[in-house]
Amino acid sequence: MFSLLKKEIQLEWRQKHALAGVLLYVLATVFVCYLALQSIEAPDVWNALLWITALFTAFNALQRTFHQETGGTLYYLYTLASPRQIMLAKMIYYGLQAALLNGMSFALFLFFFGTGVFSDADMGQFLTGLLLGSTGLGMALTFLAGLVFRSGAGAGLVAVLGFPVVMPLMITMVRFSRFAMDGLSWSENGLNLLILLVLNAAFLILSLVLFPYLWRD
Amino acid sequence: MKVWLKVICILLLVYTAIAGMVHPLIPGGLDVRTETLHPGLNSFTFIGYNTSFLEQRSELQLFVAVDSTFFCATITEVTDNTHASATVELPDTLPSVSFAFYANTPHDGTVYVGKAVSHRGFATDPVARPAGCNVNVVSDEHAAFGFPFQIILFETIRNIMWHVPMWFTMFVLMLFSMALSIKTLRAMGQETTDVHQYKKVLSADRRARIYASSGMLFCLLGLVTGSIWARFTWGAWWTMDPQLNGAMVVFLVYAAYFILRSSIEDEEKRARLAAIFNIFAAVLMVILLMIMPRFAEGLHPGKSGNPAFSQYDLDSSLRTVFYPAVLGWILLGYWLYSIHYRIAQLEETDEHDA
Amino acid sequence: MRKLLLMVAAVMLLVPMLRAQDPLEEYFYASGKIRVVIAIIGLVLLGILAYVIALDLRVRKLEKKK
Repeated sequence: MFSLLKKEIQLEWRQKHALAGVLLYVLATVFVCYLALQSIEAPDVWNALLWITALFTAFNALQRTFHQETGGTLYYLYTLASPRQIMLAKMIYYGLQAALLNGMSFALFLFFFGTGVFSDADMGQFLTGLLLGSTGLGMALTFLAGLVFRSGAGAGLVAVLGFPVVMPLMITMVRFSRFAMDGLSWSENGLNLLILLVLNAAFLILSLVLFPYLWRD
Repeated sequence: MKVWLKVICILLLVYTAIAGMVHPLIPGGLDVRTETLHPGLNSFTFIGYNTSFLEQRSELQLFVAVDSTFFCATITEVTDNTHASATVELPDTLPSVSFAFYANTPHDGTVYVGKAVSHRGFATDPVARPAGCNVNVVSDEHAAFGFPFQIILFETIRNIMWHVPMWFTMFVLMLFSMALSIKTLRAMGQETTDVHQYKKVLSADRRARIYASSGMLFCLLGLVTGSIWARFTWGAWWTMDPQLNGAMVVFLVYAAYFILRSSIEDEEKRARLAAIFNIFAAVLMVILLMIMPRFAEGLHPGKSGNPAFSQYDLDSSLRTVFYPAVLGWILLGYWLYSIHYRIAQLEETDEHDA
Repeated sequence: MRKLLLMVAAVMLLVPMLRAQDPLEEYFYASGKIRVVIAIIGLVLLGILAYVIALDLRVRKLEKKK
């Protein structure tokens, strides 16, 4: 399990340029937002821009999740570990990666636009939302990337399948973080948190249950 | 599909169409026309809906209520069954300035209009108990059988028989589709190169696809009818409502399902991957339509805790038509599916023969 | 001259229509919004009919081949 995770990290490290590309993408997006708006007073706009950035970053970073696994590596992996383990490793890795990337775009937003809109925010709540939203995005897209990879169609299909699938997640995340920005208490925002958890759990369980079917030829 | 099922389907739908249209709405208060209310003598016109003011003229009572105090009005003119004019004497000091207008007849029961009306010159004192008159509230029970009268909905309450069953039907069809997708995967799970097995997989996949496509029809109908209904009750073609957005996402997810299908050439691979995505889609649908609306405030009735109708929204008169309607539409959905499936099967054998 | 008169008549007819807040709303709000119900029933029928027509076309294709 850990060796699988390590393998993912090593693979990613070997393809530094891809990750660097995504980082550049995040930086450029936030910078463009800054150039266009200069300052954001409305929390709604802040929230919308952050999540749009997060969504597109995730799509950018994750649609090639399985494409490194070409030919030999794939069959070698298959003999070493069960498909569920492979999937779990990938989902943990890419969930964390998405969380990191989104954390970074959040930091960049703070850097460019200041912390004005967060004056009465519950930061712990907001960051929890960011984490859960990112892991959900990461897991769902990792699974769909695997599905599209097996279908043999181009990676563009990930976006077609992915956007509707992550929409419930987006709806809830936007609500949750919006409430967190208003400084609502945990109990007031608890139902949104619950839906976030349910969606995360659903993506995780479904992926693990269905992945073996996806993998066999 | 069994013939008796088709007969039941037709009977239920015919019953729905007739019963859903012929029952009148129970009487209700539509509007009150009045000048600015002031202490002293005021005149107003009470406009009812499906009321029988003229027929019950001798027993008609009109009164104005302020909190729990009633002021009886003197009827001056009843032009027809829905319009009655009256004058009422109001004191200087009132407990509050929220006025409600009531009309009372033995036949219609008590109907009222609670409406913000302009007023001037009243002193308010929460503990004031002005002398009102004793009112004999006939009964909240209505003599006539009819659908509930709701002020924004009016006659559109009948849409419950047409709009809501679309969603039930879609839901059932999509769940069947998911069940067949599970069957597809299970049939694949058994390692075999048997031709019979291969056919079984493809057949289950075909049925899953056709269930999903007839489900899409009902999803589309639900969206379109809902949009029109929303326009003339909530005032916009699309409103920010969790059920509405959820339904739209469900539509998009299933559209993605068909796009996925069309982008894979190999039959066996298509069956497998589409089945996987379909299970994903069905779980999302349940979350979107059953779980998420419970936790977010919206415009649909029965919010906070219950995505369906509460006791109040769906009263017994609606139930007698609504449940048959749901059953009838689900049967029709299944009927459409079975016709579609038989055609697809014929096409399949046709291709084999050719 | 007749054209002018016609135009004036058209404008006179149009003015009250323009004054109506929203002709669509006015039309559908008539008699307790019953027309909304009719529109919705009509749409449901249209949808089902479209589906049936699509199926019918496929059956016809099969029949032609036979």
